[in-house]
Amino acid sequence: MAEEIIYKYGHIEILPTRMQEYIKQQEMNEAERERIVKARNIHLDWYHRHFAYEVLKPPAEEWEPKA
Amino acid sequence: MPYQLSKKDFYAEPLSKAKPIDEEFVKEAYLVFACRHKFCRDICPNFDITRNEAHSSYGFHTSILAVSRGVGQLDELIDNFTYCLECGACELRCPNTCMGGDFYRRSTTTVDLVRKIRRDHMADGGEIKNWSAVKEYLDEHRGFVATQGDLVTKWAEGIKVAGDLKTALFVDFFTATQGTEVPRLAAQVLNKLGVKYGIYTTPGVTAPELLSENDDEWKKYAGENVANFKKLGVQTLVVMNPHDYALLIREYPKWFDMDGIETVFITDFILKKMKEKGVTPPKAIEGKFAYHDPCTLNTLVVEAESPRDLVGMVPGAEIVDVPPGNQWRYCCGNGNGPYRKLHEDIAYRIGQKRLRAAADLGVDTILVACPHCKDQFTDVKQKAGLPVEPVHVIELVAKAMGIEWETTSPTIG
Repeated sequence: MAEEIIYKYGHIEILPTRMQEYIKQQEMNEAERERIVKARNIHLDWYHRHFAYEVLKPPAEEWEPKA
Repeated sequence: MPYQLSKKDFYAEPLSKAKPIDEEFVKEAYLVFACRHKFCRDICPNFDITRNEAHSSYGFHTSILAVSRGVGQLDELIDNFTYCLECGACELRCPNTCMGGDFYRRSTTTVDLVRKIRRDHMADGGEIKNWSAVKEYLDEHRGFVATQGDLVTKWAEGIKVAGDLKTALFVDFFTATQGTEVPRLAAQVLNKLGVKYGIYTTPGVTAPELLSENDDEWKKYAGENVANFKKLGVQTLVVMNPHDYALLIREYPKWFDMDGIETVFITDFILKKMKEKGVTPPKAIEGKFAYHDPCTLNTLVVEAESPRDLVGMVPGAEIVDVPPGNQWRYCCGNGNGPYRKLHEDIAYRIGQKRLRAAADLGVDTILVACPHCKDQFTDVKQKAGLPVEPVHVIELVAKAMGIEWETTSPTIG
């Protein structure tokens, strides 16, 4: 598990130093990341509508990552 | 809409029989091969018909891995790469993108992969079955370049175009030759809203099909476009065809600086102007409609709201179709590239399945936001004898704005 992460623009990201050796990061801007996040939310909404009676949230103190 | 940049440098290195596949590319293939979820398979409209796993994102990446390990030849496997609609649904559903792409800054890019393999294979002397039909289409567009200024403005005959090119309408060759009702009615709606605009006259050959044949040629035309946008002082580019819109949002920023140019899809632009000016279409059109989300807006760009919101502005009109997330698995069958020209029969069956889903909703009209979807559905409707008429959202809005024109839709007409 990676304990250290980057937190910016409301999203968490892996430390780029951990992506240097085997799997490397691709060129990607914030708009593309926003697209992925939006698509994920669309997908999870769909999943919850079809397969969940209730969506459980994590404990409040773990809900928002620390900046 | 901000420009979306997602680029892998190792795609730039052409594949060739004469040399091994780049190790970075092999790792990329392995990342998808190692996944056993195969969500890419179940979301794919092509797999839904052919049921052949080799036609999925998993299959494409596995084929590359097989070639790299010497257990397969691209000559034998290339046919698989023709069974991609380039809709991008598998990219979004892939856990590498959906659950970790933003965290790791690395996602699955199947559309880029498929286009690369096709063009590299042909550049290396290989052949693709039925490609002559695609070449014929591209050659026709290449032939339009010499007289493109007249071609892409001909639809505007009799319409007052009073503005400069700060706000420019981008009309591609397909729309200018086979979908003229869209720019023609959109221009009249903009006139009613009091919006000034000009027409960009030199779009060149920027069809996505060209990216599967010769990306250098595509970049030549795209580069000329960007230089012209800047020279002509274009600030807002209003795009009629969502295929071009997806290219402008996703492909142009990979190669060109688009700073200072705002690219907007036509339905977004009309909706924004209606809200700014406080205008609501005055004429009610009572009816329920199916709505088909184009893959370009729904999955490639993930901005599917504006056509639906625009229909919501029309008094009495109601969309009864499933939400955009449920439509990732839908396609009209045309695809966002050469698919329909390569696999006419499967394209028809994909379109038939989609149109039948619309018919099951009990409507007589399916609204679309893409001239290619309309073209495909018109063809499928005739062949299958299904009682659902494809109509562009702009046609509905124009009718509601009091612009008179003939339509074959029972509800709208």
